[in-house]
Amino acid sequence: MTSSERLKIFVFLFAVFLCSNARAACEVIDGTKRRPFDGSLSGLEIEKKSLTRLNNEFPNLNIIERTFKGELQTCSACTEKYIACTGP
Amino acid sequence: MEIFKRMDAGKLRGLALTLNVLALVQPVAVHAMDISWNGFGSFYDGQALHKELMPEGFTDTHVNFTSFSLVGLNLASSVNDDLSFAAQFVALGMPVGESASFDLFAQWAFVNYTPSETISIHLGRQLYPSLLASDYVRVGFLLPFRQVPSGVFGIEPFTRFDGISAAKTFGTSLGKLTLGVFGGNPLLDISTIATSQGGLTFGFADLIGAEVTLDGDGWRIRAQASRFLSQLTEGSPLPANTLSGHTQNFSIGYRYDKGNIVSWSEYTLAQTPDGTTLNRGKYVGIGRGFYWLGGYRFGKFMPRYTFAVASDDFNILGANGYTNGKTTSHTVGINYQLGLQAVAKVEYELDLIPSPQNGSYFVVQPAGSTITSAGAFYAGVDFIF
Repeated sequence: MTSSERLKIFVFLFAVFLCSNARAACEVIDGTKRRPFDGSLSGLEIEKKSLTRLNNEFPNLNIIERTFKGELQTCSACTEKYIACTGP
Repeated sequence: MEIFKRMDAGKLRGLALTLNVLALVQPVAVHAMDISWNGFGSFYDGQALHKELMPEGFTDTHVNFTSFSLVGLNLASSVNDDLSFAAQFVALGMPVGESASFDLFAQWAFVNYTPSETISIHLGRQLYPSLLASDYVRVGFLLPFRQVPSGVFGIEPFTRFDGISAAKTFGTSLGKLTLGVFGGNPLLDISTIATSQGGLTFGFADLIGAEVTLDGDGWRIRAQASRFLSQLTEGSPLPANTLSGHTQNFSIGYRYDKGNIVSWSEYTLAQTPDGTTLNRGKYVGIGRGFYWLGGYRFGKFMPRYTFAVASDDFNILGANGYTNGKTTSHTVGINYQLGLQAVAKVEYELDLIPSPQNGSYFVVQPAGSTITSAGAFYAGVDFIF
């Protein structure tokens, strides 16, 4: 395997890592269980610090807009089911 | 008309009492509730360049921070997955209703019942959904301009109502379709003390309306139609008159925000076909407003341009005669994104009127003014927290 091929494989794996990381960036936390956030907001609180991240990950949800319309709740000390995002 | 957008403290106390009663009858649920909060604000300096023609909010050509600044707070709490309470408190720089400058008042406060993912019902004080951005019209961070052009925003004589609204969402091949209906009693934004001293008593009632919104990938189109009873009683020092009619309000608009391109546009019309007729025409005869905004994002910068035109035939007697006329404005500005939670905006607005003192209701035209165009600068920041 040449260094060029190794570089291509590395770039490919890195790209896969980035993509998978982006898709798993927001999760529904339900007690001790976690699952990927599928876009359904019913009955969910949203971690306050993840608002802008969620908006970037799911722009069609208009999270910030809906929060300031009073439709969604944010939580800074979440005790039940909520959405959290990793990363900045 | 910014003058109408004032608060009613009595209604707020009534709603707070209602919420307290609800809390008493559901003590177990209340103990389980967590309160969440977030906030927003706009801090702007504005300066008009000519005292004979100034945009709404100015009284002179000195630097003005108070009229263009505000801080807001959202509070929310849920009883369960279906039922929640939400309220938005705002402290506006411009004196509001019976409150002094920067006093906090409840812009809206309602119970939100969502029996399913696609149905929501609001009960309580809520915003009159007359425009594309009515639901967050004071959250400058969500707007591409500093504020919705006053000739469009001000056509409707009130911003809030006590009542009920319901909306249902449908998935379609074009996008998400939302149909909504609303009705209730409009809340005056004007100080009853101030208006009675000027010989005016306003009354609005029996609001009913519907809206339809279609959301796609980065775009929204929306239309609204509503009707309400509007009344005005004029007394000393004005000639005695009782004027009334059923005002119809209609608006249609779109927004597009995808990739680097941002564009918003909206047209609104208010008219009172059965209104009392005066010598000069009908009270709140007709008002029209239109704006178009275009912007392009270059990284964190977004230069933008807004064209707006407003004309009105309200036949309300003011200090400078009848407030009928037309104003055209051109606004150029630049937005600069300051991280994820703030955006700085700088803009220059040029107002044009057809002849001296014949601008629309939404510009300040002191008696004796002789000019037909003037500008104003604004600079500041919108933020959320």
